[in-house]
Amino acid sequence: MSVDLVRVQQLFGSECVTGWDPPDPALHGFLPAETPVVAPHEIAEFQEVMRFASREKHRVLPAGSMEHLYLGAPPDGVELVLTTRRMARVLEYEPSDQTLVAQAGTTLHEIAARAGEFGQHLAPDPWPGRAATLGGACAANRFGLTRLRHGTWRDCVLGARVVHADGSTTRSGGKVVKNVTGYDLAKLYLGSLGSLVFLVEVNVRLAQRPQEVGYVVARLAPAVAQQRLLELHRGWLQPAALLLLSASAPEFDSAAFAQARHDAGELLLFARFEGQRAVVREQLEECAQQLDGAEVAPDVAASEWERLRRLPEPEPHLHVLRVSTRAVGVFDALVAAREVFGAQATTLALFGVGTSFVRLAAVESEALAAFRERLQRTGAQVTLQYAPADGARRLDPPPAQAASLQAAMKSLFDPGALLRPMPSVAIGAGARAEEATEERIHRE
Amino acid sequence: MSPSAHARLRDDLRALLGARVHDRPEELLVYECDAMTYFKNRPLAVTFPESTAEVAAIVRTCIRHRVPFLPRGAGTGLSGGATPTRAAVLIETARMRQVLHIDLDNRFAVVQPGLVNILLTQAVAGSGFYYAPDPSSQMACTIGGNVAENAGGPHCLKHGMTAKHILGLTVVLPDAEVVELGGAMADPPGYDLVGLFVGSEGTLGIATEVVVRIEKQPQSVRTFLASYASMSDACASVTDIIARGVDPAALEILDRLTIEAVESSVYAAGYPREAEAVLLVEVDGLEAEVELAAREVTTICHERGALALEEAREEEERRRLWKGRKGAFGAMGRINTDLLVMDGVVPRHRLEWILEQVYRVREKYGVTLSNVFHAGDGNLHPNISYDGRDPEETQRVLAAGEEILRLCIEAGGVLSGEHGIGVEKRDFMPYLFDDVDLDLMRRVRDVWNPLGLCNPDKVLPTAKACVEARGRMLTLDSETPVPSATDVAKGEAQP
Repeated sequence: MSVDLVRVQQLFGSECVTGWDPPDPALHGFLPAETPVVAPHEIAEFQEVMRFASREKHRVLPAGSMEHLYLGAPPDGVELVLTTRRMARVLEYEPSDQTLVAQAGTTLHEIAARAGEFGQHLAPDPWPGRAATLGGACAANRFGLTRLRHGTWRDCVLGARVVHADGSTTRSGGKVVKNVTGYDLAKLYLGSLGSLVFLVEVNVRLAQRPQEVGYVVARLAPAVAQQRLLELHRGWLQPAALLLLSASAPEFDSAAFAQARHDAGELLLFARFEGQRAVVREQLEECAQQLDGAEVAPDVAASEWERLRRLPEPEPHLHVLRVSTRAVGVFDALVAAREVFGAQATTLALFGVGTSFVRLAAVESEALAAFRERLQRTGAQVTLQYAPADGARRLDPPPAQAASLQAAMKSLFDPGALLRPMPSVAIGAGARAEEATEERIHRE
Repeated sequence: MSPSAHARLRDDLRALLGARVHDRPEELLVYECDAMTYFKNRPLAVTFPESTAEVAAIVRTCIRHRVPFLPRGAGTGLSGGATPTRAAVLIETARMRQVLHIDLDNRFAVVQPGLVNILLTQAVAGSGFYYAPDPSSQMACTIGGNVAENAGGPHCLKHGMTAKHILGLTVVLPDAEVVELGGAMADPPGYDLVGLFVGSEGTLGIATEVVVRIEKQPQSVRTFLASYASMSDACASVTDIIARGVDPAALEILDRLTIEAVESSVYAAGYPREAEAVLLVEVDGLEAEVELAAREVTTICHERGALALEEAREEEERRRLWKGRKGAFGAMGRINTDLLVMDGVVPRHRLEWILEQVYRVREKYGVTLSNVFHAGDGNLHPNISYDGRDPEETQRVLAAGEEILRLCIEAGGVLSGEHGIGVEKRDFMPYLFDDVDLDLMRRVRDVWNPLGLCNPDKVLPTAKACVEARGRMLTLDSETPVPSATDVAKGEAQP
């Protein structure tokens, strides 16, 4: 049951409060239309809203531009949506230090434009969508396809300012590129899906944009693919990405890929190289040679790469599974997806990273369970990352390690369970946090 | 602790470990401090476990006796993180030093925490791999200690701090529960507890196994030494190198006093004594990119008026150039009996400003201060040499140190880039964080460490913190007031 929209508008101003009307039509049925969506302009307003929610025990859904609300557990019983989309300013940018401080609602497009003026960029480079925000990308720990070279937000977030469930605000970390001053709480917030705090400011380290980018595209028969990839991986080349795309990806049968058109069962390899021109060209030639005359496709991929980047992204009516393996264990996911789901699955595997995404239009619960069971035998983990907006969810998230500690973190930051749940963290197992409080009071 | 309680504790520990419990005064002497020597406190006992199960058993015993405990690696830490502040049991990891597993294709190794940093690289070097974080003490410091402090080193400029290279941990929590956090599998579900644990300075538990990322050795490495007539020119070279898109592996500056100390020591590296500053630059990567970077570095150093530019032509020369840098702290031993190594960080564009301020503080307090620092990431190491037997000088040194850290924060920086807070900088945390920030950190710590027995009095300020941290060799029981930087500046310091 949502809070009364008119009342919230009276409290926080009608210019800041609207009903539920997300830009993505697929999300329209996600929440009742009368659910208040509050978009404060400043941190102080943000705090006010959270104090109100805390006082009246309203469950709050944290949001940025609302492009990834499919991610994580379905928000149950949301009464209020709080979005950072109006807090969208770059507060500090020091090109010579390659550091930037921005409000959480700043879009990735805006940061790319600002940093691009100085030949810099955000290295994790997730798909920026229409208006994906810095805070949202960090909270969801979304990363790009060049993670092999550039890592994730964990490697470039320097500090953060957050608003807590009770409306208080704290900082951790700093604005410098090297820092061990106090606990690195920002690491906890990355990937926490807004289940602990609201990110309202994020300090990041930028990287130099590569002078040149080039690709090698090759068809690989499954029987030899693993060995060929391992040989590349063991050699001197330094690819920014080694992507394997499963057979059934008809949207990639474009003219640009005519030479690399793949038959059923074959895998399409995209090797991406970045850096200075001479360095990229040398690697492209060597890579193509190692792959027996694979196509060096410097231009291909300018457009096709963008389509690849979208593959792990949510789309209405699509399920996206995420499989976590060891760095070179992605073949387990590719093979299992083909054998369990057949031609309806499109799998994109990040070799050397250990992450694969499986896209499915329709799927039976039994098939999901079989897929997971099969991969669990290899030690891999399967998560249903996005499900259609109808909320149907047919795969429980894998449980987190150190369950009581994980739950205690949730209880500590969000004792009233007002924020969204963390899918892999069991609620109610957080006795450790209460015990700690009691023990501390006792000690003091 | 009463003698009888002490005896009962010792008996219980001996029942677990036999002779691997030391508690005679002469055995404990070396454990009364780490490499930050001005705060000393002897532990009740030192234990030498060999497994996770033994660490957990020691922790259980300490809990039963309500005695604090803390982990210790090689004792090379520079912030007092491994120094007990109370009557406590040290859990020394020296007997947990095995490489348990290596997986080259998946680029990870599993090691015990007492493994010396350099030995990890040596274990995989034959296969063309290495472990990237390289603190100056890497010949002695341990992986467990590196995890506790989130250690850095010259090459973390390009390759990242320890946190970037830790994939998973086995941890004995402060209540003796053993948990697995993270691992070689990508993106484990739940919150990033590994990220929180690394750099928590032994206050959240004791790592007993560590899954580390290993990397391929670079195809090419080139090392340069540029000497300058002014510190300003050296700093300007650093700014230009970064601004022109070079991605150096290391950018290190040593000032004149440091050069003199190094060149007069066993670490002599042939640095020019007439220079006001030398800049050590290393670029690594693929041969083609290193060649381009080397050309750019050479051009920039000449443009910025380098007096001389030397390139290491072979590995032996490269080692020589690094020997001076890595031995710089050791060489300070020639200047005086004690050394305060500081670790503030500033935004890179404030380097020149902060160095001017550091030299001003040197004059103001009349201390012997030299600089050797990670210029590429703005991480200063002002080193103050002093005679720790002289209380008045010690107080001036501490006051100068505090003022420098305040200046770092004023410049937009932080208290520590790689050494940690420990007891040394604990009192200064409020300069950077407000009460709400610190209270949150405290509550996070208390969830992990509810009894407060695991490495107490570190990182976060306590009520009596000023007395504890800034007094020389004081224990918790001391009530001796210690003057602040302001007092010393006003001439009101009491020896």
